[in-house]
Amino acid sequence: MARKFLFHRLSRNLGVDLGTANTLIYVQGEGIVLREPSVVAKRADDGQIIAVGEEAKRMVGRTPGEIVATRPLRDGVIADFDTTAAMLAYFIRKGLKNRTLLRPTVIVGIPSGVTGVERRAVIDATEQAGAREAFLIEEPMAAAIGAGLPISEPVGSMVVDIGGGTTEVAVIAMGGIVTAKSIRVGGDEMDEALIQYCRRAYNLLIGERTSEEIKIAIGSAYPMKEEQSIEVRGRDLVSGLPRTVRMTSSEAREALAEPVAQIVEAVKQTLERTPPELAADIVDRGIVLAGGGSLLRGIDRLLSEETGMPVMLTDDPLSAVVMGTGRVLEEIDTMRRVLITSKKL
Amino acid sequence: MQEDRAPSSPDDLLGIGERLRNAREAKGLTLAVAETLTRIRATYLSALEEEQFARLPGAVYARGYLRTYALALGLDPDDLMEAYPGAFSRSHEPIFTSLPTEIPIRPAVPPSVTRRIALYAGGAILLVIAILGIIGYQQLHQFAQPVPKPPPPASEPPHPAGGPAPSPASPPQAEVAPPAAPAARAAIPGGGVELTVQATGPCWLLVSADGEEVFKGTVNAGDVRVWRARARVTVRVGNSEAVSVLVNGQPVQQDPRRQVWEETFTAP
Repeated sequence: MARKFLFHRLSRNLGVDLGTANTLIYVQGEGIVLREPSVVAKRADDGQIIAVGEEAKRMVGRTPGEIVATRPLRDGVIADFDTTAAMLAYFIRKGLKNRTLLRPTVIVGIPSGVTGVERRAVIDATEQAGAREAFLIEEPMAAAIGAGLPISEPVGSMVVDIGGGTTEVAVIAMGGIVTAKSIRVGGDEMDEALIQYCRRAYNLLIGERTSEEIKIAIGSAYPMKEEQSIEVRGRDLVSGLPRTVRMTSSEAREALAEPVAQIVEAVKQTLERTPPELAADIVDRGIVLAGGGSLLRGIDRLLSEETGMPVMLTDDPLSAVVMGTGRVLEEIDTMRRVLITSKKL
Repeated sequence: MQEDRAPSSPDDLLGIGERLRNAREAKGLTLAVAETLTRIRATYLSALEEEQFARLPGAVYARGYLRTYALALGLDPDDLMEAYPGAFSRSHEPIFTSLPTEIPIRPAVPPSVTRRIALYAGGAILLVIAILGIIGYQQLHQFAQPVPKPPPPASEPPHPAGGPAPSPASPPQAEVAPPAAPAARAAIPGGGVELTVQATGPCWLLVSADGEEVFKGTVNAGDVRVWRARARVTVRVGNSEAVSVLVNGQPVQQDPRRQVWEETFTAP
């Protein structure tokens, strides 16, 4: 008991949402302390890391030849192990502001559909990054806890977490995931769809950052009351010269239709596999959206139309997962059952 | 017309339930129509209008319903939410609360494989110990039994036994030849061997008839003891001078120098 108390005092435990797009860190007793893009800029020749996070993101697509700005995670899983570990180590140090005696216990959210090897990689990377002990939690579970859904009750709740790399759909009851579907479609896929659309419709080449800006500014999934437009700057494919075009929100919606349809399909498929008693609960209560992708305008309306159920957003969709990991940290003794340890892999 | 009912109307003083209902009625919608519009159950919508928040399934859903319903009716959801912050704030109760149970719930698991193996091993060890115990006990018996059973009859040839003569009429002969044959032979009626001991003083005796011990003890002066055996009789004498031994009526002569002797006599 005393030992436990001591550990609680001396080491600060962390909850991490290691996302494809953004990494968030929750420090026990403090709240969310860090929210940065999961981007690393490094030198191409010797692999030396130059910048991490916000700073590195500003470099994406704007680096000279010898510097590459990469995202070490793709589709929700680690694509570049060493870079991920280095990035995580940087974020953990930054989040804790270098003032701990003991190394922290870290809970990391991972997509539900990943393989054992991919999970192992996250645990290893977290331990390399300076964690005393690393636990994993499935993102939809973390998002549901973060959203405040009654996960421990014998009532079905559906949560849809649209992240950067993946979309997680899960039905949760009695502290566990009943049915889940994870598709590797998320914000990145939407950005990619916009890039493809610009290339096809305007012969205009745009970068990832620009397409993300378009998505945030005018992207929508359902017709809006007032349509908007934005100026898009890129390089003309024919002339090779920079050019500006005006893109309307209906055009953007058309471009985003494909990834959005995949998300809707994933929700429908999960509902089809849900046991009837839980499906009844979900019809009664509705679907909760979390994750940055749920900020896409009208996606709640579209899902509601398509499924015939009420659909609502959590208060802060971007931080639902990390809030969930934080909540688990605070109640770690009773919440161990929802965690994945290295033994349970 | 919707604009008239916009957030900054006198409605601000009303509760959110009334504002929602006024907005809905101003639009000429029934709860059933509102349900199809928002996809939210009419019961939950009426719970919002009646401000019975306990009937709503939880804070997350309550907030979501209020937001969706307010938007559908053209009201500002944030404005409404501010009116009752307490009703829509999430609870801070622990997620997993363990109910206090009188009787602890324990799983009724079948014995695990390791436990079963341990059980079998224990049983086997016990069995081995039992077998060893039985063997050891028998061995002890085997060692214990030979003790009262001295060597076979013909192992003391140099003893000066009684008259070896087959004929009953030669006592002096026997005296002449003391280191002769071990057993005196004279038939008695009914067959077998008859041993007679006449004591003139205290003497310790051990008598076995047909291999069975029949006497072990001291005889005193004047005692006359007779033992019969079908096949053979063994006698051990503690004080040769104090007794005279007769076999089938024939006296047995012993070397006077030997105070203690043992002899086996067989039936003729």
